[in-house]
Amino acid sequence: MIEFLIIAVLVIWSAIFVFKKVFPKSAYSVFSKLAQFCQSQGWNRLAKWIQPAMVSGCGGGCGCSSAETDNPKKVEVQAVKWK
Amino acid sequence: MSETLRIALVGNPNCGKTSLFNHLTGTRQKVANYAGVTVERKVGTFNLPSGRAVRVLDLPGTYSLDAASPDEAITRDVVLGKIAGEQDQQAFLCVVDATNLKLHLGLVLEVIEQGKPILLVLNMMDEARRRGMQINTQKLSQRLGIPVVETVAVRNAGIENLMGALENEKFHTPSAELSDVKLSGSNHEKIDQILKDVVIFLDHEDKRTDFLDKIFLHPVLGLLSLALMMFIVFQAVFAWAAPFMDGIEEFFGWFGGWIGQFITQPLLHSLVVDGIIAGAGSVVVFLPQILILFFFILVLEESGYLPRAAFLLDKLMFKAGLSGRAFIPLLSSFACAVPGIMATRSISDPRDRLVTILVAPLMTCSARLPVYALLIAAFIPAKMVWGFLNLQGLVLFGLYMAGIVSALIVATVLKFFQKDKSQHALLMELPSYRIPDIKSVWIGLLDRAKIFLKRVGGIIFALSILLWFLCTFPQPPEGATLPDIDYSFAGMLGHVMHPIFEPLGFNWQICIALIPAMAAREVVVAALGTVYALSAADDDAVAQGLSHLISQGDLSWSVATGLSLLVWFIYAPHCLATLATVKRETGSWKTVAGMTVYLFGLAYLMAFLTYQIASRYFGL
Repeated sequence: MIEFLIIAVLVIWSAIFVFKKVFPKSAYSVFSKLAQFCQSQGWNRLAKWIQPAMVSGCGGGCGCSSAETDNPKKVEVQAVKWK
Repeated sequence: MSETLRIALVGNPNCGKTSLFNHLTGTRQKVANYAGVTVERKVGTFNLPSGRAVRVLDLPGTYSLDAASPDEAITRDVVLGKIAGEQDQQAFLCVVDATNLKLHLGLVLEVIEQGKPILLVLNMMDEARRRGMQINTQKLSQRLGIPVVETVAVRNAGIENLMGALENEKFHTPSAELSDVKLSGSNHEKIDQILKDVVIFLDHEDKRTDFLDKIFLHPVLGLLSLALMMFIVFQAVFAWAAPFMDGIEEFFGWFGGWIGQFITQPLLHSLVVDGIIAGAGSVVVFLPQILILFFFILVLEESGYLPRAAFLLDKLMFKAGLSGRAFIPLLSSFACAVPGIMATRSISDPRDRLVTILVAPLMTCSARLPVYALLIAAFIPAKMVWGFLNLQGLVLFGLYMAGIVSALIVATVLKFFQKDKSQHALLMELPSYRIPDIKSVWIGLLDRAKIFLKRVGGIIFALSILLWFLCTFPQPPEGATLPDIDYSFAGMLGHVMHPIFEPLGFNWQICIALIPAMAAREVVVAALGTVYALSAADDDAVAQGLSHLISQGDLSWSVATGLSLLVWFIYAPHCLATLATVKRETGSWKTVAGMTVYLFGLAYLMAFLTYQIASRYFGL
């Protein structure tokens, strides 16, 4: 029984970790909604625990900065189009 | 304690702003001896000796406030106070290369004209002294009407003086009190006047740079030396790394056996040994090769050679429809396509920028190296050709070249679809050659190792667990005759995908590994490690490593399959982070979809041709 419990915990953690890494924006929005739901139910500690940190960087793990919390407003980058 | 001091670093490209930023804030933002490394603003904080906090903004380099490219526009807008939240900079630290004041003072004069509080940071003073330049900083301060501090940012020299200047708020709007001579005329004339007064050139020429440029910029010798350098790098990647890789592989084989004896429950044993150690462990093996490759890249970056390579290849890139400025973004893509695509912001023409973005994923990023190394070690014999060439290194060199040639061909094809056929000449500043700083190279290598191991301990570790779960559950029914993995979710999915990839020679195990590889390319190695560890009949075979499993024994692939998978990875866009970055930079899902389709299409076609030719005509 304990064997299955350990495996379940590891698999769920892995699934959440991969979701957050591969789809950082979607993960942020899902966990924010989840936190809001918990707060509306009065589960404040759980809501605080679930509330994700603001994501930044590319999520690619290539060494791009991911700690630019001091820089919330992104610079408008000119979109490129065919001429 | 008083309020936070807000400062911004402004200057021409490659004048040492980011080196200074790193020394002040203790961060390790990427620096290199060429222009265009920083393409977006970076924010950091540090404390002055008094304890006062300073917020420092590192801005992309620009030659003037008339911005031509998106990265230069950021700097212009911050200086002009057009970006919300960045208007109230208390000081602009104008960083200039002391060896090239004639060029760099132009921007300083433009910032002075804005009437902003300025402190001039005279960087690279060691290089100026080496060349016999004498700069009278006091006089320079008087002529410009702003305070001046000398630094050597790469060696941390002069940082204390700079801190002292910030502590005493030694910056102010250009003042007539400091200015002793009224300068007149255009900015060029003013600069000539200033240089005449404050700089004494004992020798106008940088002899070292001139001598080396005679070789490295020579139309024949330059190309020969470039080819030779690339060749040595790829030979070294295989020849030097082998003993370290063998050591790591043996360690993980031993570690799996050792830890396995303490876990008696079969499912947990399988998770740890076949899932985590065989999966994530099989990727760590390639760390020495990655570090050797980056050692060479960092040395070339530090030396100032890379812009020369851009100059040499400009003609070829020009013919392919790529701008010469595409060289640096494409070069960055050899580390990772994400910063490479972001570096295209230094390309001012939107058409050239888009073409560079579309071909950047064809450059061989470091995530491909473990895949290439695994397949080459498994299918290419480790023998010498002509007595001195390592065949495996030669094949790796060929794979890198295949990526470059493919990018040039794709760019040429795209050129035909462009309505605007105008071409832009390359205008690029060639920095002086510098002897690479051992400390910077060492820090760069440590960072690279950290990034790689973080990926192994993070996304690859997590995906190995998930893949093990999918390869293990559901458990086989009673009386099952096939291996357990065939009844699992992954096994079922692999068998569904198999007919699509069969013409490429891929078996169902490879098909499974391709799915998690969308998160990161090197995950394919971990995925194959897990799948084959679970498929293998005996533990001895698993202990011998993945390379042995896929090249020998019951589950081995044909050489044609190995070659086909190698070719697949030259083209396939197995990286969601890259696709997300393309969306962010182009603002268009259509471009992302187009790029994904063309890269997967090319991967399928080329792998198909490789497999069919290798198996039918060469019987491999």
